[in-house]
Amino acid sequence: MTRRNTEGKRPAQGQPATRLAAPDPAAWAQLATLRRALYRFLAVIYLPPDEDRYRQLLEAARTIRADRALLAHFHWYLHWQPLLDHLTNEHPPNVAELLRAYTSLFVIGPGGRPSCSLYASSYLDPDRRLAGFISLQVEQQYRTAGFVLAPQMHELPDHLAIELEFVAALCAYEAEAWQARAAAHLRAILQQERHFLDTFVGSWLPELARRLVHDDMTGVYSAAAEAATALVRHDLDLLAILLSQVDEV
Amino acid sequence: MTALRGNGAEQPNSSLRIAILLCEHVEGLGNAVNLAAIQQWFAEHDPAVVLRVVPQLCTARPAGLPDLLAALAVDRIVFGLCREQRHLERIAAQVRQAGLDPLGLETVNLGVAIVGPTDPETATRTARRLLAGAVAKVRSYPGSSVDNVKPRLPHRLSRRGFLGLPLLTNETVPSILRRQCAAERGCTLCAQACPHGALQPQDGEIVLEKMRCQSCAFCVTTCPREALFFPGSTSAQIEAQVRALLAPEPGEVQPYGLLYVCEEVATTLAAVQPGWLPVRLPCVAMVPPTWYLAPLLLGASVVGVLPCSAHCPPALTQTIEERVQFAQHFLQAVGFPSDLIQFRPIDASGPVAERSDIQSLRRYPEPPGAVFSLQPKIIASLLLELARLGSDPSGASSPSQQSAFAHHAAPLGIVQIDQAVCTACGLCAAICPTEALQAETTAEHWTLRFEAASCIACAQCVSVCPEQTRGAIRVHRMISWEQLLAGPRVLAQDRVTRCVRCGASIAPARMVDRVMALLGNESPGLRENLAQYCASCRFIAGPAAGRPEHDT
Ligand code: SF4
Ligand code: SF4
Repeated sequence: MTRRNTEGKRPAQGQPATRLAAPDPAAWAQLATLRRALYRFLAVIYLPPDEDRYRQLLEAARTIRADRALLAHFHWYLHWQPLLDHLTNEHPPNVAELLRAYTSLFVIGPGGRPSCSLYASSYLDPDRRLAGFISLQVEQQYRTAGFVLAPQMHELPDHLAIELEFVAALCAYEAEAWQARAAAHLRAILQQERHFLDTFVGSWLPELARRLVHDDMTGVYSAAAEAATALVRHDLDLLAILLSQVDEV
Repeated sequence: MTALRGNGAEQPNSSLRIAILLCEHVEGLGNAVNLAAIQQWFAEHDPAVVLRVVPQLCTARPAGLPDLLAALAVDRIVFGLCREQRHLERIAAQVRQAGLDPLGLETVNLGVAIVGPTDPETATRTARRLLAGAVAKVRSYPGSSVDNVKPRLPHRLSRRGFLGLPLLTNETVPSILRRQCAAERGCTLCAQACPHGALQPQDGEIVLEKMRCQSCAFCVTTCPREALFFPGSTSAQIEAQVRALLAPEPGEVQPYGLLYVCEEVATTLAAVQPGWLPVRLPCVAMVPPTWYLAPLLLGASVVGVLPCSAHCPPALTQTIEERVQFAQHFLQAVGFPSDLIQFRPIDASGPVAERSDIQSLRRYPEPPGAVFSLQPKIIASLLLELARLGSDPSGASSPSQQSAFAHHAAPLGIVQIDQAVCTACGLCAAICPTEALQAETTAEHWTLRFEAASCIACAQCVSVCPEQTRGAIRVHRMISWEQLLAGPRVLAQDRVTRCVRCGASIAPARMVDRVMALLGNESPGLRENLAQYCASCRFIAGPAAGRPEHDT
């Protein structure tokens, strides 16, 4: 869905000489990699379902469930179970059902308008104007991190799936920074992650989740919004702790 | 336990299935606990409870716990352990894996609690009570939300630790129930109380900074609207636990003491004499004064508190001591022995047994309504009930209509207004989180009413009063029987000044007087304009009434 702009302006690696002295950065790199996978999984859910994507989604859900002994150490796992139940039970909703639900929830609802918009602008812009200043702000965040949308992606930058994909990309950068053990670079990435989760994804996801509880007949989209909200809240706490640790170095 | 949207309001549900998982070594404790007898008791009294003995429950990660929980299809879990479980995080993960919320599970350390009893019967009875208490507590568990957890870094990170991933631990933190919170009116009680500065008022809301929170739950009992929700330590959960711990049992004559114990010192319980039933709390400083008194009405012969000595900030230890003192002095004032409440009874020898001769409150019927609630009206009715029983053992008469009981840790208070100074601005009523003060403006009058049964003496009304330095309003921490019994009363009243032009209300007369006094020798025109006209007519009528000569 996205590719990385190698000439982008994301913080240059290893610039400051500060070496990270935190114990076992490799373990934190691994956690960042896991979080990346989870955000990507969530991002795919909020793209229009097609056969290929759907198959991958079910496969990913089964993989996550298979790792439950590990994942259950995180409190958010409890909030992921309804979603995983939907996608791994014997009769998951089929693609046609999901597509119908997706269209009526997010594209054209009963009155010609979607009941639950997937664009941040619909929640954060005081005039609810799509492609307005919220989209610009989000795009600015992407540019700063050197993240560009793939040409085949015809969506506004503040679409939920793209925002989640961006968080996944930041997690990947974070994993690299842990491996490189460069404290200043790592701090910059952690701060950007926190800022983006707090100001963008995390600020409107709960409202989307609330609306979906009423409108989503499949249960998949509302469970995914709950799962995403739990993960984002957890990560905001985690990032606060990690930042305090990195600052100590 | 799958209920994840904790709002602190759910009622205990007797249809919930509850599992008690017991360590295999429990049978060897306290001179041989009779597990069969405990099992039989639950089968007869609480059939929704299933009891299972699980190998290695205390020592390591018990094998197959998620599968066992899934097979039992339970909603809540109680662990009966023979010693402190040091792998609680791993147990919690297994509980989560089974789809249950670990914040709702309860562990009972039977090892330290029943080590003293000398005969198997006493050991079995104590173990059964402790388990029944835990069952009642988890049954009242209202569920948690994502806000109730804060991840914490492990003390030591090890790559080999757990599949290479850093194992975060999870701590319980309070969440704010916005619908119940009065922060919008200016209440900041909890923020003022938090010893770690973790709660902050922000744009009419209280915000928790999780990083600062130390999970002490002290804030929880400072909120008179029960708007702070701390899973595992809600007043309803603690009350359910205490009621079950102290529930009368036919033929059982042994008196029991109820002991509030800080989590930090739970393991030193072994030093406590038999007969104490422990209630573990994140920090015993959270115990409000009435939680010392209420168990006496539920059958406790004596109530004690065991704070930790090393970890508690001195201010919190002082709070505990003051509240204990209040409870002791209160009991004495209403005619009961003050040593029904004991601070650090750990060194006393056989306190419960020795106190069996005292005039226990057990013989009175157990109050049916909530007695642990933090709502001032319930606090007031509990104190009134104790006073009624104390002043007249038959329970027939009321406390003296004249008396009052003042104490610096009293949970209630009264407000006094100096009518000569009060300007009737109504700010005191606007901020009052319990609506003990209520201001009302009718066509003719401005009235300030006060209800002593709703006043928690928080003094927030004093802090916002613009005339506080002149003594317009005073708060006294005291239980005024007279005012409690009298109900709401008028504290201040004034006539409303009306616009001479349109008849609309301008302000209460004393506010106009105060403005005039502050204006001093300003131009008579301005004084007349402000005193006689409403805001709309002031400028229309300006020339006739004397337009202000300069901006004010
Ligand atoms: S004490 Fe209670 S009502 Fe007052 S601000 Fe805190 S949570 Fe809200
Ligand atoms: S639990 Fe303790 S530290 Fe946390 S907010 Fe409440 S009073 Fe403060």
